[in-house]
Amino acid sequence: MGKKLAVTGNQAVAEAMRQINPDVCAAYPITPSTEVMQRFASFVADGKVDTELVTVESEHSAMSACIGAAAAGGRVMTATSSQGLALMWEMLHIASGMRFPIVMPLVNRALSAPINIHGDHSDGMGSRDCGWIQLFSENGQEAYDNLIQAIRIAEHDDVRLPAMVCMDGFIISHSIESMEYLPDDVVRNFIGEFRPKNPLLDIENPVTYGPLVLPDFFMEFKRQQHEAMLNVKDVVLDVAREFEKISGRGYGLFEAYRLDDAELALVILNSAAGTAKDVIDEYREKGIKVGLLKPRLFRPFPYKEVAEALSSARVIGVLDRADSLGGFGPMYMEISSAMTTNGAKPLMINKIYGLGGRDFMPEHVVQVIDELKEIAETGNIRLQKDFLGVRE
Amino acid sequence: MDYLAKKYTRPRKIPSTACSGCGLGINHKAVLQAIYELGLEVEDIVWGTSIGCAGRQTFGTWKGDGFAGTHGRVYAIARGLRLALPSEKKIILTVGDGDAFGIGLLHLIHAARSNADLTVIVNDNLGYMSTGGQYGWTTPLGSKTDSSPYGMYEQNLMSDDIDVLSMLKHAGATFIARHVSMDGQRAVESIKKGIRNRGFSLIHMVYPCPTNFGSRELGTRNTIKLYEWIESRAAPLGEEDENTVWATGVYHDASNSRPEFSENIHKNVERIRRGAAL
Repeated sequence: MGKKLAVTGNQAVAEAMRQINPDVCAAYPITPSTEVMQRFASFVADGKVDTELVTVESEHSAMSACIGAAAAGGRVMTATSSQGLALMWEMLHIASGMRFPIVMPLVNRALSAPINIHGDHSDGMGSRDCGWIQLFSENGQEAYDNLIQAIRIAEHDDVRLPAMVCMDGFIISHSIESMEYLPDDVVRNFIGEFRPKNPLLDIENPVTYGPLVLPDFFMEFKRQQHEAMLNVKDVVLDVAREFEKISGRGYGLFEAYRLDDAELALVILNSAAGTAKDVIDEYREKGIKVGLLKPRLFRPFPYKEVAEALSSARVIGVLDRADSLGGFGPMYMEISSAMTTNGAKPLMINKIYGLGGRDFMPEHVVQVIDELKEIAETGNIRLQKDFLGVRE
Repeated sequence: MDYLAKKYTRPRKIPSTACSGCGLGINHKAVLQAIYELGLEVEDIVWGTSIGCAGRQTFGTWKGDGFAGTHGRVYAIARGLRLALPSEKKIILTVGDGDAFGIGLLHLIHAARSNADLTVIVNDNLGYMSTGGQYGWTTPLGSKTDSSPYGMYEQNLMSDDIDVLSMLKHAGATFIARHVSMDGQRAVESIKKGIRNRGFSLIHMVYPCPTNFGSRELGTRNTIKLYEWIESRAAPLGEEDENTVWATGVYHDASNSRPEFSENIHKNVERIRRGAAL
């Protein structure tokens, strides 16, 4: 087995990148993801990787450089956060539309305005429809493991789509936790050699990327991307099974925590799920059947599997660390779709929490579970969508 | 508290949260001094800021109207503002080198091209110091930074006879100056000229960052050493020697020589309207 160390989330992700040893990386600093590329740049400077590192003048250029390098036939990575991802938005669609398996750690941070540097999921959720695979990570270990697996998932012949691996800014990116690295050769064997498809450097077989496609064929392109997305689920599970063999750590499409017989269920992404688990344990000791679903694969969203996992729940509280202002939180919309399209009609509430890095405390979980209990007893929902820990 | 800080800034923002020894406050003071000497009041100025050290430390500091732009976009926002504001209102932007000369360069060039009446103070700490000290577009060649451990070797906008100020001049800027924080009243005079110019003015002001630049390039956070390091590489225009990195003074003064952006638009829109009415 690998080395056990105490490192930050950013360090862990940078270490995974060192082991992946991509052909090209583009870098532009933005808090809180800067440290990922900063550490990776030192691996480049120290000759520990073979990567060509290009420092660019904006995140738009960073993703553009990645697309260029991917078109040439390279294994390509970059990292960003918040406004950086927002500025990349145009190019995110280009990367997915051209089917380049670029892999990018996204250190989740709130979007301006007002400017805020702390963690929430508004950046990742804002790029939900960009055609990227999105994996979310509770802690540094999961971010490290997800990044390595993302290479295999993105590059799979049935997929060939870009992937972002999300973790919470500061809460995970800058916190030191104990975790385990895999040995270099194990990672190298696991990800395998990069096999470019239709690279521009194959001058015997010229290809054109991204030409004008009008109404006659545009929908077919999008349909193909959707089909590729539908293949992701199986690939994620296959890759996870193989990954478990080398690491001993099991992954699925989501984590179901004490969910089997749960009458009350919480759905929470990333680090806050860890906080909720402890509180759930306390309630379970009191005999209250409450559980947690922590999604891992958010795009494509595994509707059927999620609905099955939540099938015993009579009341579900979906917590969102991002908001679709004027609508429900993005996770609530997915869970709601998953339940209703699979014939279930649980009572559901949506709580928006932790925006701009607002602390998410165990008492917030207590508050939500108590409300779910009350709804189960009375059948009454007072407020469908509400905010946790906010001044009124 | 400093009398200018009291007159023009929000008391709770002074002192700023800048690191100990940071030179940004000196630049900020020079801007306030210029405003004071021009007899301008709080209500005469709208202040815009960007991202990074320069943006963060001056954001929300001005007592009057102000706005925070996203990284590199503040020039585009300010041009929109210029069109809507009465011409006697001044717009001052305090931004950083990464903002102006990197991510926002395209917008900056178009603000210069259109000769929009803005005074841009580019507070240059020689790279991306807010994110830990990566080299940028004005980092002196050979400098050790977080991302250039063997010395910065990339061509940038201050090397190999490329000067961002000359680019801006040719783009149409009507007032351009360069200073270092230690220039005192000379810098104040340039800022005054910039504010007086009814057109695009830019004052490039290098300032010391002991925390990230100093600690890596000089191996010390000693403020005095870094101030000396910068000062020894700065000389007034015409007095440069082989060590000079920053020749200081007014680079280009074509104040009030070209039509100003918003006046030009207003004038032409009026002309077209009159024509249509006839």
